[in-house]
Amino acid sequence: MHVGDGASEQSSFEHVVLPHLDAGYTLALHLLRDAQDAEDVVQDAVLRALSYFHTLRDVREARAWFLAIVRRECYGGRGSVSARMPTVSYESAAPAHLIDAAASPEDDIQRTMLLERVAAAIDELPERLREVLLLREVQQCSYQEIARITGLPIGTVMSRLSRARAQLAAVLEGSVDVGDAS
Amino acid sequence: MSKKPDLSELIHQAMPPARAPQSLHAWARARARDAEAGRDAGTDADPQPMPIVIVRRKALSWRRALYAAGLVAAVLIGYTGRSLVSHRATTQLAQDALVAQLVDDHVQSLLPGHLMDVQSTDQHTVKPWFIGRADFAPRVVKLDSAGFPLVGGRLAYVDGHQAAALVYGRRKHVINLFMWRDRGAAAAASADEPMQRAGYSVLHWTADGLSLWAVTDASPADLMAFRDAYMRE
Repeated sequence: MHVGDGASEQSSFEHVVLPHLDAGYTLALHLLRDAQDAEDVVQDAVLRALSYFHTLRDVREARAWFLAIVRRECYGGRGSVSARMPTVSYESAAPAHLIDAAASPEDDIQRTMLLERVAAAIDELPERLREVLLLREVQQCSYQEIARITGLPIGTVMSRLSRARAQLAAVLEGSVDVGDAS
Repeated sequence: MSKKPDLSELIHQAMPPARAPQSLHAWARARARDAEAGRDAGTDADPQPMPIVIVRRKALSWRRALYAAGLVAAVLIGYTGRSLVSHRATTQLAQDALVAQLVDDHVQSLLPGHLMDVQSTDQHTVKPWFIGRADFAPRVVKLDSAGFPLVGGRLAYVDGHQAAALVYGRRKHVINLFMWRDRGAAAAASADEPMQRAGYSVLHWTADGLSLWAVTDASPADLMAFRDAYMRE
């Protein structure tokens, strides 16, 4: 019943699922926008994953499987993710970009501002688009994996992705820093 | 001048992958091993899923545990071995625990979205923000001319104190300046040398009845310069 035959080390939860802990944490962090909540959710997800580990048939699917559990934990029991919209803007990138911009070369500032705008634009996306985009661009999931994680048909995944990209591009197009600096 | 950036790449840079805290990794590993051991011991026959109701780790619990352990050790040593261990050693233990806490808070502050509660380069925005939130008014000064731009501030809870954390920048680095009221703190400014902890520099000094701790991944020299600039203003 367990993954693989025999309880070899390679098939243990620790070796199959835990390598994806950071991926799960990243997903939770981006969905919930709060490190403490993300930590709690991942913790719950680990417990849940442990108890359902025997249902994981294919070790190669461990990542998508675990991300699906994390996602469910993000949405379940704690109110919907969208109800948790932060009141303050979300600092998405490393804080270095906030620091001492004046001392950096012009390009750095431009880029930093652009990245901030990208993060803000992603933040503004409707939840169902944002989630698919995060899975694709941040987690680098395949369409199949995203379909499995979200339970959506693959066609829906693709259309949501393209809508998310289009919306982002539209938002960023309007801002000065996209494309050639002027 | 610059070519049009690729959207995917931009998104990836704007939302970089995060690392789960070490404490979470350690906890998950321990649980996995526990479960493994339980399974080997024959719980396999029991189809019941593992109980989901596990005591949820309290936020920062391991930090508190670390601190508590430090305190307990300090008290024990102080109590049983007063003649064996100098007072200096016991305070050293307590201080180590405190420094670990501060470094930890500093590291956590670098996580996305955790750097500050109030984000402003204007001291007249940052200072009033603390009023009604902290039990004292931190001195918020602008240090741009010394190369330490003000970035913002937030509340912290350190060593059983409510603390104010001012966030300054130093080139690409962040300096967290923690401060809290300390009755024992000398009125005159006093300072120690910077100490190193896990690659971070920590500098402690006291002034005006406050205990001040600066933590950074910038160099110790930067930290000294920062203290001098802060105290000069």
